[in-house]
Amino acid sequence: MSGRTRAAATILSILFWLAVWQLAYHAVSRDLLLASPTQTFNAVVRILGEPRTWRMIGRSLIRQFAALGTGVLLGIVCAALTSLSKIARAIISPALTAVRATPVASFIILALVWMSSASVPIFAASLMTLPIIWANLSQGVAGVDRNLLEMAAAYRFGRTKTLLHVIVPSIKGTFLAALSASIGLCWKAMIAAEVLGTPKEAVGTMLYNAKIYLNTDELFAWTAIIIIVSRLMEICFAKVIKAGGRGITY
Amino acid sequence: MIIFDNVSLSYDGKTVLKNFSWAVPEERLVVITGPSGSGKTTLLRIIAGLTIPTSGKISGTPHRVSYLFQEHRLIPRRTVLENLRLVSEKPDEWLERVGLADSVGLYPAELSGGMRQRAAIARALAFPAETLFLDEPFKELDDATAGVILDLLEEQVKVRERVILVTHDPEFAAKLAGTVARFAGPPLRLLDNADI
Repeated sequence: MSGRTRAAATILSILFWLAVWQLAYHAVSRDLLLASPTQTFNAVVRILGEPRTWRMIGRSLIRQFAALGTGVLLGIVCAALTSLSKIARAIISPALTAVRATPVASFIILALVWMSSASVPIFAASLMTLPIIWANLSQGVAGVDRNLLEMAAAYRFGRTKTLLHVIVPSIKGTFLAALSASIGLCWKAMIAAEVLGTPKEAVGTMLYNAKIYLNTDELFAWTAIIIIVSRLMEICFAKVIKAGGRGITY
Repeated sequence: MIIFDNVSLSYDGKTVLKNFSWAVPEERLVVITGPSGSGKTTLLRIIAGLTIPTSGKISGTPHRVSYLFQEHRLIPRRTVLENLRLVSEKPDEWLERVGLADSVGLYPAELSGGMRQRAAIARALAFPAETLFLDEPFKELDDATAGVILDLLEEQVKVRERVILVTHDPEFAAKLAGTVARFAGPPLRLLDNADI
């Protein structure tokens, strides 16, 4: 499919779903239950025109990066430990498998008992990121070419050289895929934690307020903003990766 | 002296060595020949310390070795030059000597089979070690390039304590001065040791 055909297909798809939405709005015909696309668009424009919106998006993004950074760092440490030591694997693997299976809401509600509402989103979102990074990195490390590791040992690379030149290049693809998947998941978990914890300045808090005050158009608008920010983060990440990988032939 | 004493090795239900005893000839160059699949590579790997036998004793193995594997084992995400830089301070010199001076910036995937083999040989020759192990060094090389590599090996025999080479092709082995140990198997057994 050419670039132009793909763009046309995307636009047609968006128009189709907007039409479905508009029809649903007419069918329901109660603004309190369902905002129309036009109402939502107007609310988005209005919200984005307020300076505090950008401050809130900024605060939420800072939390997102803190959560993502913490989750990634802990994921790397856990993957290193479980790859190097069978004892560490026996201890850490079941815990992280359990974390992966636990609903994010459980962590958020528990964390709200222990910590401030501003810290809960970082805690909950990093917990969602950690097992993804750990699982993918561990899988990547297990898949490192044994022949290359043996070559590195024969030529006395030492730990640092082996890590930098054999292991890291081999697991880079798996790691970036995990990171890419984590960005959206981390953002969603963080917004959920903000909705439940309602910290002072947060996108999730605004979503919660819109619901409480029955501002359905704002509820839809904030949801749209959350989706747009998430998509923009994914696009930026993809661009950074593409720029970083330019010139390298695999 | 490298001595195998009643060494046995089995893997995947296959017996490669069974109560194998052999004193590796004390020559600077030892060529191990025999048919494909007889266990020559396993023998070389045991001497180099890369494979541990199931039972038996082996003594006198070298401490620091340079090893040309049967597969090139170049790091795919590093250029030829970078691959050599990891083991040597003079990578360009060795790449030039194997005829890869114009390909230093290429990645292994961009090289032909013969070029990859030459890059792997350059790496093995560039790595400073008392003993040089070469497993099928002439694989994928045309006659002219094999001649260049033979000259380099002759030079290596003079500068290294020992060179141990495995080949299934005795024609190349006959061009080098040393001892040829002919084997059959599996399980591996010595047919004869002969000077060339």
